[in-house]
Amino acid sequence: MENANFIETFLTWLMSFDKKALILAASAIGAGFSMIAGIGPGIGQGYAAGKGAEAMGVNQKSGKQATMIMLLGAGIAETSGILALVIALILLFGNPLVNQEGNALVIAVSAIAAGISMIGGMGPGIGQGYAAGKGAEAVSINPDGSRPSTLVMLLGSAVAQTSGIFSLVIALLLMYANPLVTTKGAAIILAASTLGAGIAMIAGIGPGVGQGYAAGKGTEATGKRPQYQSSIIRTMILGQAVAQTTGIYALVIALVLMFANPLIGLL
Amino acid sequence: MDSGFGPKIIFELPGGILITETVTTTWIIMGVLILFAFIATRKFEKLPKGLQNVVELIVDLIYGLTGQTMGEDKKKTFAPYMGTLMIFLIFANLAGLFGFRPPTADVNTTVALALITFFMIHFFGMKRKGVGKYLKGFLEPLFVMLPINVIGELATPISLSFRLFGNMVGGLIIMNLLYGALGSLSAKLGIGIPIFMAAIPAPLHIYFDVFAGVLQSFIFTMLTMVFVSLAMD
Repeated sequence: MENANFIETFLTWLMSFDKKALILAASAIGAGFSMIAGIGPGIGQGYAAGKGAEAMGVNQKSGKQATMIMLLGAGIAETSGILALVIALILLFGNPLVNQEGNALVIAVSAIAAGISMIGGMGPGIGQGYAAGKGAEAVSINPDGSRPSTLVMLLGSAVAQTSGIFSLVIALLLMYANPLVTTKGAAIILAASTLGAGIAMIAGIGPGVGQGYAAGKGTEATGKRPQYQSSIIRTMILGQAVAQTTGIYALVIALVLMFANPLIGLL
Repeated sequence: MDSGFGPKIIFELPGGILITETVTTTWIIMGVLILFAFIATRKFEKLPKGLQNVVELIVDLIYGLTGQTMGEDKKKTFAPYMGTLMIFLIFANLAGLFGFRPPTADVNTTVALALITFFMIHFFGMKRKGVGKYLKGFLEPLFVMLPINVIGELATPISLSFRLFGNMVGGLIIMNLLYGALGSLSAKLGIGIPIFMAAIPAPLHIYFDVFAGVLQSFIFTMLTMVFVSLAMD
């Protein structure tokens, strides 16, 4: 009973603020949440750097090539961090929510949810970094197989990016085109659904790491045996597609919460 | 999508069908590709030279890639569609460089292409293995896996379409915001000409439009090839 009163008091206190102030405050929180995604590229690129150093030690002659592949993969791993930075910068400097018409609470929560959604980008950062490290290693072991293994690394990394892209799509939808802002219904349910949609996308961490691991192992295998490149690619892609499924579940739940919300009518 | 970043509506057909810039840009791409195909294949010489060399190179590459990924026996059937798909996607994704809004930045286009892949997968799987045996495959390895297998199959077109859509629309929005920010920076400094827009966006265009565009079209086509050949084996 005490708890219910506390929530009511909290919400009443929130709604006592000016609508614009509430949305701007929530944008600040959302921008902060978004930058948590930086954990991923940090770990991934560090792994790639370590593997690059190891590759240089193992085979000095192919060192330049290994370094280039390491930098290429690390650049790809940076993507999630950049996307998170862009969302944060949008929330801070080009805020689209401040002038939106609709329920103030839902608009404010959209900002926070958009930031939380980008946390899912942590996964691809780690996974693609692993693939980059494996790419550098593959070059050091077999410099002749560097072309095919780079191709496999790029292919696998691009598939691993998918979860980050799903997070970006949900974040952009929440910021620019959240249907719940103008839906009729209890504001608390709409706001909670918005927050739920954002939190669901944190699931992107898993497939990002897993698919990146598959990409790294595919790169390593192609480096060792370039002649089996096509069968390696097929198995890698098949496995990555299976790994994607829970990310798809999360995307579907987020989209259902936003576009086909079953909870509003139940009240 | 919000009116801010969605495709502009060009005109409306009777019956309420809206023709957006997605459709018109797709028409333009179709026109360019058909014209190119017509001009390039007009006179075939026994010893190729000039444009015919380039065209033969492209066809060889596509047939080679299809044979490598799907198996030599499937090359003849699928290479034409896979080549068309890849070339269309490359043109569509690079349309941003020419001032058009990429048609693949519209979820309708990507879902349509993903649905073609989806129907290809199941049609050719059933054709190769027989309807009964193909459907029984969903009960592998254990019959309780049926719902999980079905959802996994449904995940294919969803991930294909949203991966391409998300990459394209994300790049589009980021470039738009960058131009807006550079424009307002010039305005704040009181400079009339938007000089910041001259050189700074160029490397970002190379990343978002060229690199991401070509890579995503390659990925879409490769995944289509892999999924169809896996369904047939």
